[in-house]
Amino acid sequence: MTDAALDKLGEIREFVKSAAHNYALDEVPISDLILAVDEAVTNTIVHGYKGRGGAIQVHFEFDGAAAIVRLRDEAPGFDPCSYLNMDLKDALEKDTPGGFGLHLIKKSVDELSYRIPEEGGNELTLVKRIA
Amino acid sequence: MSSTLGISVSEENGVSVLRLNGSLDANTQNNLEEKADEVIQAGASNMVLDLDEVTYMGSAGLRALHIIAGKFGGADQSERFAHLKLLNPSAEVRRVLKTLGFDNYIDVFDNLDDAINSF
Repeated sequence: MTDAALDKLGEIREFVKSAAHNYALDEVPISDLILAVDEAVTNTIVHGYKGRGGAIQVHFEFDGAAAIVRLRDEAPGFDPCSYLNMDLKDALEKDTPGGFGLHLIKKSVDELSYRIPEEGGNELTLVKRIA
Repeated sequence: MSSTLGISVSEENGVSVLRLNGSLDANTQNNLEEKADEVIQAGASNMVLDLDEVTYMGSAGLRALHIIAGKFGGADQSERFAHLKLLNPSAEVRRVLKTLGFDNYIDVFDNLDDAINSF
């Protein structure tokens, strides 16, 4: 459990990296997973908690074939899976493009699932298969 | 994998070179934008970002690139990005650039002289 604050992003990335290291997992898929985790946590901090802080849980496990990170927070409900894929070219032509984080999340993991826990908040599960 | 970003600035053959070290994420994005703005306000018309010591870059870093390119003006993205080049991004950073399509707009170099001479 950690504070949902931007200056904690480095710690959260390091947590996933260290956890993966314990299983001696290939660095390339893990770096993709870390990217997705960072983007998802950033969205929680900026859009979910609107910068006012809150709690976020980061849980890592390896099931023998895939590295799985579960993120849980207490912010208002937001399901990233429900967002359509963005038109990158269109986004880049805008003066203030948005949606890059969601796009990176979807492109960086093999499975993405969302649910609302009984106690509320959000739970996002990111799965990266390790070859 | 800390969330800090160091930036040093030099000028080489009339091109501003910003050497970054550390992480370029949502926590440090503003640091880069502010420093780049300072350099552009001081008269820089072309800029190279040396990413050799950048250990992490996510979408916030790419938003910073987009904003910096916009400060140079230009009719469209191709024109704006013509004033901004990247040097020695890691393999991970290159993947992020490619995933978000930035490789279609921004030139990437492995050699500083080539980057400077490309303007």
